[in-house]
Amino acid sequence: MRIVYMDHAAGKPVDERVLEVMMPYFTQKYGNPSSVHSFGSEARKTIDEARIRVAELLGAERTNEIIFTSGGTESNNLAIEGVAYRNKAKGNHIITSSIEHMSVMNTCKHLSKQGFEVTYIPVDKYGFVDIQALEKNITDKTILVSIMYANGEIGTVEPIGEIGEIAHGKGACFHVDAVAAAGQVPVDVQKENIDLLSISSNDMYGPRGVGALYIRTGTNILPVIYGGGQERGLRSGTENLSGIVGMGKAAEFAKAEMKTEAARLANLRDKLIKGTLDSIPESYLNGHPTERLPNNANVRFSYIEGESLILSLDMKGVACSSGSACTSKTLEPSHVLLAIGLKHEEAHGSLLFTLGKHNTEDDVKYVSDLLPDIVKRLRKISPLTPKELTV
Amino acid sequence: MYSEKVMEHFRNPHNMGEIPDADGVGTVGNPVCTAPDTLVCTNDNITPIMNVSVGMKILGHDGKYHRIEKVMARPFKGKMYRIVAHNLGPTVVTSDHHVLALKTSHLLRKYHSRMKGIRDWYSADELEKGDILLYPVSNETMDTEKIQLDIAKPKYDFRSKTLPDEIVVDDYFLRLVGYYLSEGYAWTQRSMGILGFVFGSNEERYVDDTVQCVKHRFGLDRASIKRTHNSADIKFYSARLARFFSREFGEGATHKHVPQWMMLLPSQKQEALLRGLWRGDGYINNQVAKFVTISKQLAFQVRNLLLRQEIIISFLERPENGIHKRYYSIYVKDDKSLEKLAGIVGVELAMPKKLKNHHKAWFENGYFHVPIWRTEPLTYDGLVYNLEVEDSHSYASNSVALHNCGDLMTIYIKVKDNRLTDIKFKTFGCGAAIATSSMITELARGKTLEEALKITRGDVADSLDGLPPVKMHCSNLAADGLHAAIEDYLKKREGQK
Repeated sequence: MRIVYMDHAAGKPVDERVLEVMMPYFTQKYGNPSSVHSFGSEARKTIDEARIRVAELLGAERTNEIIFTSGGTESNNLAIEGVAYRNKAKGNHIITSSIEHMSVMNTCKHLSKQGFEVTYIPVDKYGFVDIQALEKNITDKTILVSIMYANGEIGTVEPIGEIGEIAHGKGACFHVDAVAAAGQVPVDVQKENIDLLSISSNDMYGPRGVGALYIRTGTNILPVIYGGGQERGLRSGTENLSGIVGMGKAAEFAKAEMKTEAARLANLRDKLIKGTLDSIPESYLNGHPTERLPNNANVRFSYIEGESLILSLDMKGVACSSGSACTSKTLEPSHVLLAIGLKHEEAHGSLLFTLGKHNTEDDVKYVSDLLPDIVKRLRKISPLTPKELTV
Repeated sequence: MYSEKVMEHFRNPHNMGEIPDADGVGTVGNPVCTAPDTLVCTNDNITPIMNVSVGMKILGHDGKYHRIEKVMARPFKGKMYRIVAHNLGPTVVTSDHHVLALKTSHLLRKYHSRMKGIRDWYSADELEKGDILLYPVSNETMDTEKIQLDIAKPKYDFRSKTLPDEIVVDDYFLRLVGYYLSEGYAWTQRSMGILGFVFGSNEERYVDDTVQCVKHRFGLDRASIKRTHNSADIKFYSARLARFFSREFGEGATHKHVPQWMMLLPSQKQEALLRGLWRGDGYINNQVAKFVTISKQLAFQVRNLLLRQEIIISFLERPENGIHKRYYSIYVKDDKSLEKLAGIVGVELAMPKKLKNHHKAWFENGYFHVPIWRTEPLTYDGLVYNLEVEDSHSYASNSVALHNCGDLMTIYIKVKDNRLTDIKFKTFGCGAAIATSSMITELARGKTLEEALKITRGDVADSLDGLPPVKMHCSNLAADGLHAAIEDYLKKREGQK
C-alpha cells in the first residue's frame, strides 16, 4: 500500500544530512561547552556556529540575540512569562490573539491568575488579527503583544510588520510565535519590528527537543529556568549539544532551500485544494486562499465528522489531522476553527493536510482521488446528509 | 487508539442504511429534553422553557446570546434527573441530556483537586454528587454612551421643568437606576408624574446621593422630602421622567427589572448599578452580604450582574409564606467575593481571615464552576421540551449548561412475532459511534424484544473489546438508539389496538 504522510504540522522527519552532522556529537565530540579544556572549547565553537546559522535565518543583528531552548513551547513560555515578570512595574496588560498555540494561550491564562490582564484580540473569517481591535485595546499599560507569525492549523500568515509597528507605538514588547512559519516563509526580525521570536527545530526538519528564542538586544526578560547560567543566564541547563548542532544545520538548509521548496509546496497545496473542492460537493477551504503557509491545506466537508475521515484515510495509508474534537480529550472542537467563526458541526468536519519535502505530485493526486469516495461513503452512513448527495 | 474489532466494524459497518417501512424508528443524540417549567436564560429575562418562542435569544454555553431556531415539545414517559447545583438550584432533564461539567473521581475530591476534573459534556445519568457543573457567565458587552429620553411631554403638562433629550449613561445615572430599582416608585396620573424614593432613616447619605444624581443628570431639584421616624421619602416632580422610569425599569416591586441594554454594558460600568441596588435592597457586613427582592426577573438579573463581576453567589428562592410574598435572596459569603462587593458598594470592611468557600465554587474561563449537591432520578409522565439554538447548540438553564447536539444516530427495526427480523442504522460521528451502531445491529438481530431491551451500553463496548474512556459516553449511544426504536414500535402497536 502506498504511504502518504501529510501531517507535517504534527511532526517532521529529521533531514538525513542533518542527522549525519549530528552523529559525532553523541559518541565522539561530547564535551560540555562550559568546560575549559579542548573538548569544551570545541563544543563552544560548534554551538556558536549553530547560533550564527539561526541568527542568519531570522535576520538577527547579533548572534547573542539567540537563546537555545528545548522547543517552541519553552520559547513561548520564556518569552511571555519573562517579559511579563520583568516589566511588572511598567504595566500588567498583555495582548494576544484568539488563535494562538496552546503554549501561548495557557501561559497567558496562567498569567491572568497572577494578576495580569490579558486581552484576546478576535480574528476575521480568514484568521487575520483584527488590527482595529488591537489599536483600540492597546494602552500605555500594555507591556506585551504576542501574535503568531502564521497559524499552523488554518495556515493564515498574519500582517506581522503592521502589528509590530502598533505595539512599538505604545512602547510594548512584540513577541511572535513563528514555530509554524520559520523555514517556510522568510522571517526578518529587523524589518518586521519583532522583539522576541520563538522557533522550533523539528519544524525545519531538525531534531526534536530543541528550539530557540530570539531576543532583541535591549529587550529585558527574566528567566523561567534557573541553574548554571548557561545561555546568558536566561536558560540554564547544560546545552543539548547534538540537538543544537542539528538545529543549526537545519536552519542553514531551510534558509538555502526556502525559496524553491516553498514554491514547490505552494503549487502542490493549490492542486490539493482545487482537486478536493472541485470533486466534492459542499466542501470548503478554511483560511485564506493565498495568504497561507505553502504547506497548509485545511478543508471541511458538511455532514461528516473529522475522526471518521482520518481513520478512513489512514486505512488507505494517508496520515493527516483534523480540527475535530473527537480526536482530542473533549467534545469541544479546535479553538482556532471556532475563532474564525465556524459552527461546531463545520469545525467537526474539517480536515488538515500539511505537506512536507517528501510529498510529490503523485501523492497529491493519490489523496485527491481517494477523498471523493471516502466522503461519499461517510455521507451515506450519516443521517444528516440530504438525499440528493447520497445518490 | 481503537481495538481491532472497532476498526473492523468501522471499515465494514454491518446493516448500514434505512428501512423505509420500518416498524420502529429510534433517534438518539437529539432530541433530549427538559421539564416544561425549566427556567432558561433568555436575553432580558428568565423564562420557563415552555414559554420561549422562535426568534428569542438565549444564553449559550459560550456566554453569548443566540437565536432560538426551533422549539420542540413531545410527550415523554420515563426516567428524568433532577440535578441540584450548589449555589444555583435545580434543573430537571432527561437521562441522556448532555450537561457541561468537570467529572471528578473520588480521588480528586479527596485531595481537593476538583479543578483538575475532565471537562466535557456528560449525560445527566452519569453525573453524581461532587462533580462540577460549568455555568456560562454572559460575556456579551455593548457599551451605550447615551440613550434618548424619548417620552413626549403630556398634553396639559405646563409645569414640568425642561429635561435634556439625551441621558448620558454614566455612574450618576446608573446609580440612580439602582436606587430606583430597589427603593423607587413612579406615580403617574393624567398629565402629572412623580419619581420618588423611600429610604430608611439610617440611609441619610443615600438620600443626599439620590438628590445629587438627579441634579447632575436631569438638572432637577427635589420637590419635597417627608421624614417619619424611620423613613425619608423624596419626591421629584416630572411627568416625563416618571413615565420614562416606569417604562424602562418597571413599576411596582414585583415588576422591576433591568433593561437588556443595561445588562450588556461593560462590567466596570455595571458596578455603579450594583452600588445603587445594594445600597437600597442589600445588606453587607464582614461575614455575609445579602440582596432580597420579590421581582423574579430582577433577582436573576442581579445574579447575572454579580456573576459578570466574578462574585461567587448563592441564589435562593423562598416560597410564599403567610403575608410574605414569594421572594428571592442572593447571598455572598466567599471572602474574596465579599471584598470585591464591598469595593463596589463603597463600604469598608474589617475582614477576618477565614478562607471560606475554599475551592467549592470558582470562576475560570468565563464559567462559574459549582459542585453538584445531589442528583435525584424521578419518573416523569408529561410533555418535555427542547430547543434548537443557532451556532452554539447549547443553552443555559437557571443552573446548568445544556447541549442538544450529541452524536446523531437513527436505528430502524422490523419486528415479526416479537422478534427483531431486521435492523439498520445511520450514524453521524467518529469511528466509535459508527462501530457501536454496527455492533448493536449484530447483537440485536434475531433477538426477542425483551432480550434486546436488556442490551446495555456496556455490552456493546465489551463486544467491541472495549472503547477508549473518553468515547464511553459520547459515542456509545447505540443501545439507547435501539431501546428508542423498540419503544417506538411498542407505542405504534398500542395505537393500532
